[in-house]
Amino acid sequence: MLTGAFELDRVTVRFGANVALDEVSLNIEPGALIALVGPSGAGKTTLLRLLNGSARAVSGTVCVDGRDLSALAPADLRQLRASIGVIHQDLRLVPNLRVSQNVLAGGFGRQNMWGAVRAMVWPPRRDIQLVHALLERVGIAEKLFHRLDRLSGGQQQRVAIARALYQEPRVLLADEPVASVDPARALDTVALLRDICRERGLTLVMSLHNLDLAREFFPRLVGLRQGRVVFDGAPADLDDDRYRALYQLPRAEVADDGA
Amino acid sequence: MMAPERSRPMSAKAIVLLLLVAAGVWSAVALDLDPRRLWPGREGWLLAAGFFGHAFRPALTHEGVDIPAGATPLLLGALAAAVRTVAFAAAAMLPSLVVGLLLGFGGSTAWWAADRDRGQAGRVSAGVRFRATFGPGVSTVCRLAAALLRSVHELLWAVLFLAAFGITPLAAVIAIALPYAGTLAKVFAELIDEAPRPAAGALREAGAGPVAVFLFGLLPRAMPDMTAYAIYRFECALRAAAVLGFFGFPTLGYHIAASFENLYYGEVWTYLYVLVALVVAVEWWSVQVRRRLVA
Amino acid sequence: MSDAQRTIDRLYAERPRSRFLALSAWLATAVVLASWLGGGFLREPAWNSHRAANLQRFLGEIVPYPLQGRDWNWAEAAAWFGDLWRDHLGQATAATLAISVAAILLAGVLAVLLAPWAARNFARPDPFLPEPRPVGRGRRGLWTAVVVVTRAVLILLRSLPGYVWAFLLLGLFGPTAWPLVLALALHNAGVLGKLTADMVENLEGPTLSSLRGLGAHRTQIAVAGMAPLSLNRFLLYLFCRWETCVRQATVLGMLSLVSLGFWIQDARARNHYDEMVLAMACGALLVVVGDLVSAVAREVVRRS
Repeated sequence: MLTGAFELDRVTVRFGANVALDEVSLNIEPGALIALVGPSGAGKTTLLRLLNGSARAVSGTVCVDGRDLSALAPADLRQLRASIGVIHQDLRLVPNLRVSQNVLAGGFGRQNMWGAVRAMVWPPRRDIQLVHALLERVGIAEKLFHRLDRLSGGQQQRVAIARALYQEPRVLLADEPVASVDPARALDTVALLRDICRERGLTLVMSLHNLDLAREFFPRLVGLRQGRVVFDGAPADLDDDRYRALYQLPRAEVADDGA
Repeated sequence: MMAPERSRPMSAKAIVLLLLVAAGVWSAVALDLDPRRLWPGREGWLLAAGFFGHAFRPALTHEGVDIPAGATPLLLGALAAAVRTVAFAAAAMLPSLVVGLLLGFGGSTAWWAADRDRGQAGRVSAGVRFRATFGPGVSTVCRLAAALLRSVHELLWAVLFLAAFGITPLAAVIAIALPYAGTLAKVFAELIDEAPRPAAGALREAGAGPVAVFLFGLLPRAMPDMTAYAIYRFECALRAAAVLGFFGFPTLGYHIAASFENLYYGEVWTYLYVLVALVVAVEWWSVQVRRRLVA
Repeated sequence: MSDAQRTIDRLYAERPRSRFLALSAWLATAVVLASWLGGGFLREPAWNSHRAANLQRFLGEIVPYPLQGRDWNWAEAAAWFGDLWRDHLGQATAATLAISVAAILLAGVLAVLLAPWAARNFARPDPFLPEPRPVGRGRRGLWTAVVVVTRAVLILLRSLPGYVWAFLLLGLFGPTAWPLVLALALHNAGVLGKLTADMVENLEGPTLSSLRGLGAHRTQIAVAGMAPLSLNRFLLYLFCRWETCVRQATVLGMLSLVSLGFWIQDARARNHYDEMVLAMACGALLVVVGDLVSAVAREVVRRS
């Protein structure tokens, strides 16, 4: 049973000539709430992909619960990924299926082919009740049987969250969930994810480019810049110097931004 | 001082266009297509005027002089022929859809690569290895089979069956179904391969099996276009079924040929309009379905 | 039953669904089943000893005539093929290809001439840019009529299969190549015309409105604005329809002298099944080659 403890030891990830992550070392305890911050292209998405085995390390080791990811048997890898829920930046839902079907698809990792077919075509009552409860938690319960593409962008994102939660994961990875969302809604979404993970004791790793949101909601920030970890600690420790090192803004602009 | 512009080599597209024009010229010469022969001469004009004149006066009752009493009225007969045309076409769609889906799935690379993740950690599973080894071969075989089926026109299949073991209505339906299965397979394979894959990828990352990923992550993205094309194929099947009437089957083509040879041009236009009405009805249906499928 | 279940049931009952789609699906299934069960296709036994005997005889007879009943000999088969090719098959194959090319080019020209008048954004008193003065009802009515009539003509052209057109035109023009070319051209002009009209209707507004704003009239907009924007897609449609034309051109020969279809029908009537199958094979080969050429051409157009 996955506990959600990750250990990255001097991991390098390369795509062709481009080094996405450079000797990154990171420890994540179960139940941690972590915000990944840093400028675009820093490697935040790659780091998230490392955690569920979607990216391969060229050197260094990625360990989950003490087991090396690259040595996992395919069946074990599948089980691991089923316990890690991912909310992608582009959501990756199926527009012409209903909300209920999109959420139920989160259960495919635990089912064989026939179970999956049953879930899509004639789902058991209990499963629909679970889906309904999840949708209630994220605030769109009445959209249970609506077609996905009739929902607004924000509502579709809630569906993506519900799908990830339906996996009954131990870990939740969120890739820039509020990148193109207006500020008020962004606050609600980040708060929702943080609260859900706190309630259920899930490990949450979320990449954010809005540092204020990260500072407000997360007890631990990991700052990436050009594939390297340049900051790892509490928001209070992120003083002006470290902030500049992370985002490399000239002094004058920092003063304008204020506290 | 600006350097003089170097002249660009002719683009590939310009070459294609030029070749098209050249092919056109060649074809006109090869067939001895003389525009003057389009002028039918006095008799021809009378015939043409007589025929096309009836376009505005389609017959509503039989045009012949010695119609036996109790014969089916013209319009009812036309309707019956239309129903039989639909029956032939609909019957042909069943086997062609079944075979088309099978060959289409088999011929699509997405089906075989449904669980191939590039750059994924962990060891490669036996299932992925199996699919990677056999996939390309089976896919090619499926595509070849579809191409072979497609290369013989449905009427030629009908002629082949006629010569081989005598033609029956069932053989006519199979004659339509064979090339249509090939066409459906080709288009389905292309649509599946071109379908957007983010959803399938996300399901794969959540641990879903390859069949589930294909059926519920990839196929729904291709489904609206596949359905629209299937309806279009049915419309083509209607036309094919009508033409089979020229071979003696009881569809609209039979009546068109018979009335034309008897010089009952009004009746010919009646049957033509019935055929047009069928096609228009199916096209309207197709537009309505497509509108609702794509929300 | 718990509250939650009641809520779920209510949501399910109230779910938005398309009655039309459901009805369509049921109707389609019903029609297909009814056709198979009641259409008389299953009345006769599909296969019996009589047909099996026929098939066996047939398979024996498609072997080239000089080789029937003897051992296979490649040289003789090649000679037999060469004789037939030189005699009429080669010329018929070329004629079939020529018919398909002439027909599709003619269809393309017709489609380009007709399609804009069926496009609602072009065929209106104020194409692409609203006019400052309100347009009179008479003018608007006239343009609506233009669109309706053009679309009706396109529908008529494409509803009738090429075979039917050929049959009708042969009666009028006699057994030359023109009726076959015209028949295919008319049918495909209807198809291409509709595709082009829909494409014109979906063209991007800004380029064309700016041309209109400069004072260009329809012909100028068509040549300078619409043509470059839609050329690529039009060529793709053209080549796709050409593939169909190649298949149809073979078959139309069954009605007339000119293409492979004539020799297929002729050989069948004389019970020379070996020549019939050979002619069919030539047609199939032509189709395969044509599909390849079309695929290459379409790839070139897509990349450009």
